[in-house]
This record gives sequence, structure tokens and C-alpha cells, in this order.
Amino acid sequence: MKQKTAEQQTMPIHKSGNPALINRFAWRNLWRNPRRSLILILVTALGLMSSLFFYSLMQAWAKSMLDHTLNSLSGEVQLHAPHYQDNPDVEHSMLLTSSQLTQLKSLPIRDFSAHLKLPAMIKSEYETYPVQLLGVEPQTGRPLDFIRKTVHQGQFLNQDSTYQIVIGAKLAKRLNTDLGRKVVLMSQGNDGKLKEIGLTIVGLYRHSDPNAEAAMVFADLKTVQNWLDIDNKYSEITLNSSQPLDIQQILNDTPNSPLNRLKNRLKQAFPELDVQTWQSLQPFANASIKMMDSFNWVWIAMILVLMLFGMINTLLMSLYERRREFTTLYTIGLKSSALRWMLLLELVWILAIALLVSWGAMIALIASVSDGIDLGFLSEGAAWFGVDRILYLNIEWQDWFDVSAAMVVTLIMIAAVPIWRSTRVAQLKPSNRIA
Amino acid sequence: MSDLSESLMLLQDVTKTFEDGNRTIYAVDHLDLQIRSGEFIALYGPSGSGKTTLLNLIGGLDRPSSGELSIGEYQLNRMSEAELTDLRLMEIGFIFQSYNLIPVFSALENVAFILQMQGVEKEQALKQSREMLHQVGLQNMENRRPAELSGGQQQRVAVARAIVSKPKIVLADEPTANLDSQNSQELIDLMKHLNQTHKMTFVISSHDPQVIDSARRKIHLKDGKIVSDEIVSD
Repeated sequence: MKQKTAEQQTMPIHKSGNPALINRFAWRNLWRNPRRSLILILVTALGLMSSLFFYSLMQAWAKSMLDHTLNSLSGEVQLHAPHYQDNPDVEHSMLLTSSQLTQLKSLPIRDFSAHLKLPAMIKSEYETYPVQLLGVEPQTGRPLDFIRKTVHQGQFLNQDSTYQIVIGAKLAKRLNTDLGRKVVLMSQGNDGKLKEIGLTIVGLYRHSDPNAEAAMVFADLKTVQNWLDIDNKYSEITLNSSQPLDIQQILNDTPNSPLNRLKNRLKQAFPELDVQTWQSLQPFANASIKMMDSFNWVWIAMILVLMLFGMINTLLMSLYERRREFTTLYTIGLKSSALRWMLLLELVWILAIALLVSWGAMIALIASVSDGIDLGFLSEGAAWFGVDRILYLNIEWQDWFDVSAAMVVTLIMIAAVPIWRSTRVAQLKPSNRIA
Repeated sequence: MSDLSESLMLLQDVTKTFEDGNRTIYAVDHLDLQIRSGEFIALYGPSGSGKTTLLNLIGGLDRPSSGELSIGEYQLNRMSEAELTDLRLMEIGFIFQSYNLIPVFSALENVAFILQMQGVEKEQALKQSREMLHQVGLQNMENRRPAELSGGQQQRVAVARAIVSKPKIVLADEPTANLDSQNSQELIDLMKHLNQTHKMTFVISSHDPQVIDSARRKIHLKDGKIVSDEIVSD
């Protein structure tokens, strides 16, 4: 190309065009038909927002399910005597020596609970029901926090809770009994004989799972051990690893995950015991959480398809209307690549604004439901799925970024096809178009 | 700018054919033409005579089916599409029948667009464009968008855009077709004035007798061939 004279030209030719000019052109084009652009932005923002909302809701649901599962005394890893899972009676309890206890504490765990978990019958003066008796050390911390918090009448067990029991409000109603009244527990002792003990109800708890509320009763560990003649024996040890479990860890479950490493160390340290993670003990919850993640992406894909229909339709209309203009621009010296960039930038601007709108709306929405979303209307259905009644939505920036990036990149890639086709040199040639 | 006698463009045995089913249409038929710097040429002839096709060939928008075509030292046949686009940007100005201004840019921005695409800094481009709009008599309308201008004013902006970068040649395809006779005459006078003051070469395809009468060289085309090539002495 010839060099322009100093009067005409002060800078060398920018081979790819003038990016700032192209960007300004794209921005102005966005507002040449404001109503169309605004509708497109709104539709895209709604699509993004619905995807983010659904994703956040499903994450909250999965988190609630996970917490619910782990808090129901399951823990992340459990130790049992062999065959306890087949027959959880007193015969399959295990001894925990002080050296084993020390060894346990040396592992990378944040808490653990050793307790008795046995089948029993509870009897009031009116009714008798089968229950799951949990003999617990009242001073145990975190694993019992969830039940301590849900005691709504009376109190939870403490160090002086000999011959006391905490039962669910639902069970109390079934037994036609109440706080301060006595019940009788029956279970099989170490000698194989049925034993009874009278205990005073000192606390009533509520549980998001009505079945658990009607079945789980808590008594002092020592009292139960003495009653059944099984000193220093436990039927279950639950542990939580030092690194709190989150949904991503579950989805990216690898043999080298913190949980699996803990499980392997426990197997080495206690080869005579049965070591299992919560996934194998609660396969439904594990599968549900994984399924929810897949469902998330199915939903996002559906939204994407709907958005694409709208966006491609509008884009094609816009490209068709502007064919003459593209030819003019090409004729006066705008390269097809610069034209392509301009059209892509228009799309990027629309998506960027839609992204800001959707994220802003989502932040506002989450702030407006900061007290949680009450699933009371789902009643026992939610409990059946193992989630709490209240779901808390969180701003998960990384997840939002992943979802948004996936949608935006897909939209750009697919919209790039008609843009590319309409800016091919053959399409831009004037032929009979320019007059 | 070069002398009037200097050869600017040379077409040697140029043919452009289009296929229509089994039929071959010769839009430009073995045409030889030399255009010198500073000429003011009118291409005229009936519809389908090959005026627009010839303009497209000269402007590097179409490639000849055979023959040689050059502007200055550039052989258009041998240039890539990207190089041709650069050539149009740097060396050729275009004026269209329907003005074809960028609707989202003001008159000033439309004119500056070419300079900015060439890499001239924004402030410098705006300064030069302002001066050019002044020359075409639109000094008070630089911030108006095309939709806020009359047809004649839009065509003046288009002329300013075509010549602001001082191209070697300006190609105009039916520039007066959408204008009334007064605006047409004003536009012709403006182009002639620019041709004389800047020694800029104009090739205008037109049916308009006003344009043809004002040209110093009149090329009559028919069926893709030059029927007559008349140079009018001043």
C-alpha cells in the first residue's frame, strides 16, 4: 500500500481496523433499535437469572440434604463392629480402649462421637412403640449440636442426666405422654435377656424428618451401658473429617479425597472394625445430590435452547435488515473480519448487560429471602427427601461464574455461526445490492 | 497529486461474465480503457450496459473473468480480498445512489470513519472531517445523524466521506438518482469543484443528462462495450 503524505496520514494503517471505533460502532448499533435490544437483554437476563436461581435452589437443597444426612448422627465416616449393619443389637457392640481413643483423636478429624445405637421398645402407660435408642455422652460437642438446638421443651441431657431421656415431640404425642413423665425402655442385655429401665422425659425435640422425630430417643451413655451390662462398649463411632464436606467434594469424589483418605487411615488403624463412609450408608442421599447436579445442567441446557431460539431469530432478523449496510461498509474498506468483530461485540454487549442485570437481580432476590425459603407447603414430602423445612440460598460466586460462563460462551459460539455466514466476502460483494 | 496526463488506471481486454443457467452473459466485453489522473468521467448507457459492473471492477469489488486491471502500480487481479479492501480504504472513494451513510453516526463521524479506519488519530480525523464538511457546505450540521438530514445533505456528507482521505479515484454510482434537479446540479457543481481544486479523479456512472453534460469525458457503454469515448475540450 502506498504511504500517505504527512498532510493526510499521521499513523500507519491498523491492519485489523480500529478496535475502539469498531467497539463504538457496535455500542451505537445496539441502540439503533432500542426496543428490540431491550427485549433481547430482558429475555437473556431472565434466562440467565432462572438458571442461576434454579442452580442456587438446587445447591441449597443438596446442601440441606447433606447437612441433614450428616447431622442425623451419621457423620461422614462410621465405625462399627463387624455384622452390626446386619443386626444392630448389643451383641455387635465394640470395645473402645483408651489407646484406641488416643489413636482416634490423632487422626485428621474435627469431631467424633462414640455411642450406642440399639433397637428398643418404649412404653408409656398408654402405648408401646419400637424406637432407636441412642446412648450418648451428653458433653459430646458438635455431632449432638443439631439435636440440642431442636429441643423445644425441657432440655437436652447433661452430666447429671442419669435415668433421663429425651424423645421427639411426635413420639410423645403417640405415647400420650409429656415432659416430666416416666417411660419404660426395653432392650436386650448383654446376657441375651430382655431388660427394662424406667426413665424420666426431660426434653422434647423437633426434627425436620417426622419419622426420625417419632423413632429416635436419647439417653445417657453410662446409664444405658450399666443397664444393659456392656461397660465401655459402643455400637457406633461417627467421625467428621478435618475438612468440612461440601457439594463439590461429593461431585468430584476421588479415591484421594480427604474423606477417602480418612477412611483408608481408619481401616489401617482399626482393621478389625467395619469402616464405612456416609455415601455407602446413605446411598439415596448421595445419589440424590449427584442427580441434582446433573438435573441442574439439564435445566440450564433447556433454558439455553429456549434462549437460543429467541436470540438467533432476532439476530437473523437484524442481520437480514442490515445486509445493505454491511455491503456498504465492506465497499468503503471495512474488512469482513472487522465487520464480524463488530457484530460479535454487539452480542457481547447484550450478554454483558444481561449478565449484570441477572446477577444484580439474583443478589437482590437472595437478599430478600435471607431468612430462608420455607418449604412448609411441601410438608412431609421435603422430609422424605431428607431436607430441612427452611432452605437458605447462598451467593456462590464460583458456581454463578461457571453457570454464566457456560451459557454465555455457548450463546456466543452458536450465534457466531450466522454472523460468520453473513459476513463472508461472497455475501458482502455488492453485485446488485448497492445502488 | 499527479498530472492530468498521468495514467491512473488501465484496463486491458477486460471481460466480466456471469452465468445464467446455460447462458453466459458478458456484462463487460473485452474492454480496454485508460483513465488519467484528474479526469472527470461520466459512464452512461442503458440499463444492463455494464456501467455498475465496470465500476465494481474498477473499485476492486469484483474480479474480471479475463484481462488485466491496474490502478497505479497495483495489479488488481493479483491482489487478495484483504489487500483489495485495504486498497479501497486507502485509494478509492465511493459515492452511492442511496447515500449509504452509517445511521448511528453523526455527519462528522461518518466522514471521520474512513480516516479512523485508516489509522488516523480520532482528534485529527475529526478536525479533517470538520474541514471537509465545511467544504461541502455542511458546517452547521456536523452533529446531525443521517436521518436528520435531507437527501441532498446526505449526499454531500457521502461526498465528504468519499474524498476526505484524498483518494486517487472517486467512484460514484448514480449519485444524483435520488435527488431533485436543483440538488443534482449542486452536487455536480460540488464534485466538479473538488475535481478542479484537488485534481481528484471522478468516475461517475449515471443516466442523468445533467451529469453527462457536465463531464469532461463521456464514455458510452452498450452491452458491455464502449460505444463512444468522447473528451470535451474546455
